[in-house]
Amino acid sequence: MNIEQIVSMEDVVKLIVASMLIGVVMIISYVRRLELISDLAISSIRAFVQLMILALFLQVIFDIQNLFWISLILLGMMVIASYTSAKRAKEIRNAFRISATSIITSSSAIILVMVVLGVIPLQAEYIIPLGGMVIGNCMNITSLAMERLKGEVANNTMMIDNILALGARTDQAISPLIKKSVRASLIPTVDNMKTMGLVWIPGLMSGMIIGGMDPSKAAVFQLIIIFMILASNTIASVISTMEMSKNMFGSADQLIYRP
Amino acid sequence: MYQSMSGKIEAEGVTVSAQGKDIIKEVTTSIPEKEIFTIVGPSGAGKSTFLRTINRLIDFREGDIRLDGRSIREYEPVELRKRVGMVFQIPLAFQGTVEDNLLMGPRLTGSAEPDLDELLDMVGLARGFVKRKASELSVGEQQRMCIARAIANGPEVILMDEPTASLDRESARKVEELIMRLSQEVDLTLVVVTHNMEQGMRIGDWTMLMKEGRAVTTMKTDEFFEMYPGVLS
Repeated sequence: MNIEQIVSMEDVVKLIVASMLIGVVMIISYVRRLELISDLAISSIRAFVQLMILALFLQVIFDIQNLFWISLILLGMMVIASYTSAKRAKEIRNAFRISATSIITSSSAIILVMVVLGVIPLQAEYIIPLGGMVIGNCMNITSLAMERLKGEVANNTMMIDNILALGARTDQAISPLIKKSVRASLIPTVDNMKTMGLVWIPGLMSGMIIGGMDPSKAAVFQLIIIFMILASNTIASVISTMEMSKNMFGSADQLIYRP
Repeated sequence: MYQSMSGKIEAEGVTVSAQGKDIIKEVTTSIPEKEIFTIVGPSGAGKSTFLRTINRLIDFREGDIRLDGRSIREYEPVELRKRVGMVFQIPLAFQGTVEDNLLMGPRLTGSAEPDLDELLDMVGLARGFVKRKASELSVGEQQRMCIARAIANGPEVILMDEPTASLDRESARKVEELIMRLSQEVDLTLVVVTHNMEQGMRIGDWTMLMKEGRAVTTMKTDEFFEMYPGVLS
């Protein structure tokens, strides 16, 4: 297999034309002294290389259609997502374990349920992209929820100390802050759902319509994905904040996270 | 109802570390039951840190603290904090009424609810305060409410971290009087951190001087101020 099997000459020309837009952005950056040129160049090249490798890789996987490889790829995605999310909570003990528990549990549970119920066909070309969307969203929500909980705890150390001093368990002391963090982390997901179809057409649905699918079919498929994402995001947010809160207290039920 | 059991505290070689540095160094002292024990010393001496080790809001790395002869590490933290209450420098009123605040401890720990009138009488707040919003009280009143909130759990010991430092002079005087009255009427062991030496002299039965994380000395308050008259200036 070579690249021409995936990308036609016509596509390459389109890509080059689209790349010219990056050049325009770079000119704006230069003129306005935004100091974005190197960042833009690196991120554009990275995006190009990563997506091309992914395309080649997916082609191979789609040809093989092996459950073991599909699972391994999903697991790899989850590990990378967990690592990325953990970097947001470096100062918390067991940050990677927390984000991995959150992302792996929430995304694999939802993917599994959808596959078992037959909503998603057990085929690489469905599971990998959809799984990736779910995992990516779980990663974002885990980062958001952990970041928010860190902020809430930092702003409420006096309140936590006061409640603990009254004989509260750690979960009693921190539960109002977990609730706030979960709610805050889900705001983008919920707002997206509210404005979907009014303000924006979701990427997956757009792609399907462009690819020739009937809009109503594309809408149904998009809704399935959105509900999957909402469910997995909620689970990820709850797990990450609960797991993180446990690591904010010491063995004597004392608050140890004091930035 | 609020007659405490005992409340004797003994600390032996207590060392607390943070970021690899010892901030409390081998503090050994004995806090007699049902008396007012003040901890004095310059800021940064480790007074508040040591105070917080007694209810384990800060954990110690080495040594031991015993409450009524039993290591505090052997108590469940919840049980320990029911027996060793705490009042902080800045009074914090939780959302809701004074009643909600006073019942918070017993509700959290599933203990019997106290007589609110008795509690309010004890700290010198009018009984009518019970239905008032806690956040609408003056800072001095909030601090007295916080003391009542700590008593509501029926503790043997109350730790007080600079309890008058954020109050105006009149409120501070009332809280000081309250501290002395509580020691006599309620039979509590009171451990009070203060940077105000004069206050320490007025209220303390015993005084411990701390400097640079160490306990320099512990003695009867009158003897302490005879021996170290210079600290008052």
